[in-house]
Amino acid sequence: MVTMSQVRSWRPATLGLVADAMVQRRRTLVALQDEMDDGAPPSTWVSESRDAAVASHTTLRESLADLVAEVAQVAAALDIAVDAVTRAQGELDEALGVAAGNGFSVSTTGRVTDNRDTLTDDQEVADRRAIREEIVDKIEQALRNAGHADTSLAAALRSAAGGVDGGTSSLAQAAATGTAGGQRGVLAPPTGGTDHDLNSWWEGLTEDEQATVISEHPEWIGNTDGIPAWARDDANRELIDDYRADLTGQLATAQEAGDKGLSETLTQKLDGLDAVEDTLELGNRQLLLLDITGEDQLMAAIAYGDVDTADHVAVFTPGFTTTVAGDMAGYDSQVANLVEEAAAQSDKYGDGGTVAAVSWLGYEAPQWDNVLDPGSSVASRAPAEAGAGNLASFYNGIDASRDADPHLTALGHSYGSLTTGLALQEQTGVDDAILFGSPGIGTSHVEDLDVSGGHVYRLEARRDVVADVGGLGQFGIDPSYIDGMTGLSTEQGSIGGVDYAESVGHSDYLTRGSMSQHNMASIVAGVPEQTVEGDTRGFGDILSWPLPWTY
Amino acid sequence: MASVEVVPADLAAAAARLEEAREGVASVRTADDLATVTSALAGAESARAAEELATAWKQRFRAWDTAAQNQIEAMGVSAQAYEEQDGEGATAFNAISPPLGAH
Repeated sequence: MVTMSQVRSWRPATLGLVADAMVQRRRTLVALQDEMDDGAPPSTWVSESRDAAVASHTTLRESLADLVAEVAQVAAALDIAVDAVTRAQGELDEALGVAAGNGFSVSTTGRVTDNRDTLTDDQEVADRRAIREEIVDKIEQALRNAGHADTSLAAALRSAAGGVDGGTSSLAQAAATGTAGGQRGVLAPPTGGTDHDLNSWWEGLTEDEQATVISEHPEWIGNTDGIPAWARDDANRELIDDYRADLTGQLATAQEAGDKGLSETLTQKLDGLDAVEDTLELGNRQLLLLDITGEDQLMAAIAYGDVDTADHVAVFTPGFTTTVAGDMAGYDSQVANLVEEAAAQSDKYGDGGTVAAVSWLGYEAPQWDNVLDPGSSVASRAPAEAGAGNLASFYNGIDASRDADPHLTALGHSYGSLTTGLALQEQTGVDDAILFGSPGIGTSHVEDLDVSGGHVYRLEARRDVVADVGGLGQFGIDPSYIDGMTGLSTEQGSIGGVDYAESVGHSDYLTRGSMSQHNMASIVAGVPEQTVEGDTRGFGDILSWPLPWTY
Repeated sequence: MASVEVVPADLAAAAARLEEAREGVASVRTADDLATVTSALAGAESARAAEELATAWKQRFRAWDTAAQNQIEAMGVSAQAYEEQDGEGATAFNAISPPLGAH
């Protein structure tokens, strides 16, 4: 196992000079083809001794081809090693940068120490621990990548030392054989790795290796948090046809067996794939999640905009009855409108930063046909709890996959607000949270959410029955009564000469031109001062007023 | 049948080309290049592997050079032998068949 001080002492630029020199040697040798051909015993020479001369010339030619293949193999292996070592050192430097910027020290052996005085605040302790883990993970993966670079290069050099068969064809062909032999096997992702581990693993691959992973092992990264959005998108698009073939095969089997329930489920998953492809065709989309393994539903997440580079990123989680087949297109359209509105506000009032947003259908939202199933009913926390872990990991993966964290906003609607609220009880990089049309967010205390004070918002529209029943279930008290949440208006109004419409009912919050959409766009754009505060209370909210001593 | 002048000339030309190839291969100092790997990756497994390869290459490139020299020399010797052997034959041939126009 290589050590941190070893890796930091390596000089990839110097190694690069050797790689360049080896390429020149290869070219010099390959260019001797004509001399070797012309140096063969002439055909005009008729003699008993000619046969022996021809045989020894053939041996010379083939030995030279072997040398050419060895030199080519070493040249290729060195080139890859230069890239890989450079990346590993880059990952180490990044880890040290995070450490230095956050008051941690890293010893020459890689030991990470927090320099802050004894902390007493639980939140701060948790935050410091998370940063330390990030640094440790990055160092671990950088050393793993460097170790792989070293062992791969050593293997190629030793293989050359043992002799490489350059074949009996031309010296150019021998060079091609050797170059192919100098390629290293792609390092597989770390098993059970955190999102920082996986990001560092990915960044340690050469560009060619990343392309190989996308084309040959897309399943390694398509749904993996910590991997950059562009790569997840490429990988998931690679998988669509395979998934379709898989589901089609399963459907044929189910139909033959007369299993109507399974057939319906598989048909809906296939319809979901169609919906995903239709949405992607609109352009400016990234397919960040595609999962056919759900018991009942296809899961998918599609971004509008570029999650890798946007300054402001929002993740929208919908709720009850949502399916990819039935709802992805509609939510995607609403999310796209939200992004446009947020971008306009950012330009006008904010930092002019770019915006992207994700429609995240990465959990199996409860449906009408399992209302009575305690494990998956809308009346149960179970589906939300199952989804919350994935959602929290998704939030964290966005930060881990980027050099600079974006301003990250979580949006949860309806039952999705419960999923979002539960996810936010874990440590995530979410900066702002908006919970709307919510029957409950999984807690009665905003302090349970790992979101800075003053950055959790609620919206409730007039005649939103779902929001009105908040507090009657097991999801925490009605968010209308949670202290520390800021209510944003859903009523009609005018701002800066622009009229905004009222939102009514459960599904009107993201309508273009509504006050509700304006307010959410302001938060997403990082200009909360542009919001209009307000709380809409319905008759149901009177019923759900919590008794103070009960929570 | 090629004339007695053509074959030695062809052999000499082939030997000369093979000599050019030999010089080209001799100019390639791959074993020396590998010393830099050792210094660029101090303590690495690759550094040790580079030393092993440098040793192997020195031997193999030297062996190839020796074999090429032997081949070149053998072709030179063959050319000379061809001249001497068929030179005697040419003299005998002229004795048997006077040159054209001598009657």
